[in-house]
Amino acid sequence: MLWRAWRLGFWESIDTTFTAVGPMVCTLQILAFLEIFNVLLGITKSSVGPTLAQVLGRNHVLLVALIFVPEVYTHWGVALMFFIWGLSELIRYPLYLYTINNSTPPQFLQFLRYNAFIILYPIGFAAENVLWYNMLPYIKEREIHSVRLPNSINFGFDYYYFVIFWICTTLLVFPFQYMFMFKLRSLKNKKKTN
Amino acid sequence: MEIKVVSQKSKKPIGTFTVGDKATLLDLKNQVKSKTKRSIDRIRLSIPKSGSSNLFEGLTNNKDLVSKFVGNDGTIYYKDLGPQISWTLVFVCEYAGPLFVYPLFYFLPSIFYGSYANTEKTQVQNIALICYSLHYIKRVLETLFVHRFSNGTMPIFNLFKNCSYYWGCTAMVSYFVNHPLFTPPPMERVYIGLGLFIFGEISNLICHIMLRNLRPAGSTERKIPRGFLFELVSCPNYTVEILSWIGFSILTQTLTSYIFTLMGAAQMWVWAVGKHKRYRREFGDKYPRSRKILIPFLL
Repeated sequence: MLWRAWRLGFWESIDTTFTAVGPMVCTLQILAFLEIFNVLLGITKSSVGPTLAQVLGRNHVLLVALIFVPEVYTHWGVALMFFIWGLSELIRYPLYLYTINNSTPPQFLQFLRYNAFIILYPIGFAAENVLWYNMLPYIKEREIHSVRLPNSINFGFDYYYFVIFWICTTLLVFPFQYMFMFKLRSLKNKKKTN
Repeated sequence: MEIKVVSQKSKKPIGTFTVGDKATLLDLKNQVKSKTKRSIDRIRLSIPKSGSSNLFEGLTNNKDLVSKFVGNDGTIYYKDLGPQISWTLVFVCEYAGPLFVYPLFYFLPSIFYGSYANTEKTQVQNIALICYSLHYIKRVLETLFVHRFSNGTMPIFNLFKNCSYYWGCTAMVSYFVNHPLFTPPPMERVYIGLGLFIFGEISNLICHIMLRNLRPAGSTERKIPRGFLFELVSCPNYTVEILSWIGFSILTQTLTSYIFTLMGAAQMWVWAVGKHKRYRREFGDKYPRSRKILIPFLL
């Protein structure tokens, strides 16, 4: 009985994920721009490139696109994407806390740091893409963020084609990024055995 | 005098060379050349910047005496700059490209604009074509007949970098200026823009000729430029070139042209700061103190 209630609640809440937590996730993602400065100022020990790619990638799909396409708010991709983002931050931020305090994080956190991405990264990427594909028809139909000629600055921009270009580029980059993370992982493992 | 030459990157020794007291950097480079089998143009010699172990100061004047630089431990650092290409060739390629790319959009609209293509060109679009082309014809001719380059070569990668910048920006500007749905600005703004453009181009040519005459043929001697706009700023050639692109942007009323102007201005600012510092360092108190970098009376 309880199980059925929980399952019902879980599946039903998927539709309302955006209305429930959307504003909060958006606020947090705006704050995520700070991560770029954290890296630049040396507060966190990551490289600028991947951090920039992650922050810009997430903020593009969420703040530039999704919030302008209410038709997709109820899609299960939103729930999945927020869930995966949340999980990855649950691993990352405690680790930052430990390193800032110069203490060693517990073993299971370190394990997750270098292994969770194997599952989380592809699922998160897939969720983002599911959303892109679902948003595309609306972006085209409503000409979201597009600038039409003629106008007094003589500039035209078709966001629809930009999104297609974006999807293709991220698809091409994804395998390299994924492999790169495996490389970091094996480097870490080698260090441990030494 | 014994000189130890060490690779700047790997810190591995290249070799130890014996040179006379009156030996110049060129003499040393010749010895390094016979050892490394790299042409003179590819060899960069440098010494560590004072107080730093990772930053190096290139020794660019081949006529300088080696003895000037071997103060502490007789070590000079070596770097292979990679395959080289002449400045003139790079300049001609980067400036000739726009002469082909820009007119493509003007003369072949059916390829780029599809169904809109059959509209009559406006007067402003004709003026823009002439202005843009004249600027790059001028740049090619200046490269061939006016400029004297103090360094003969640059790394070959610059050819691809510079060409994609100039050719790409030209496409970005030309696509919108020659668009069939182009909106021309009011005529008085066209005249203002055109006036600025013409003033900028002519002044730019004057500056380039003055810089040429500053350095007699066959010499690498440096002098303080005097007269015309040089009394106000160190790099008036950049100032007036930026003015002329602002003029082009006003007369075409095109966002991408403003973006191109802004990127060019940023790059020229960086170059101008470098040149201004070099003038100050080289001429010290003799260099006019009131002279600004790029913007008269301000910066």
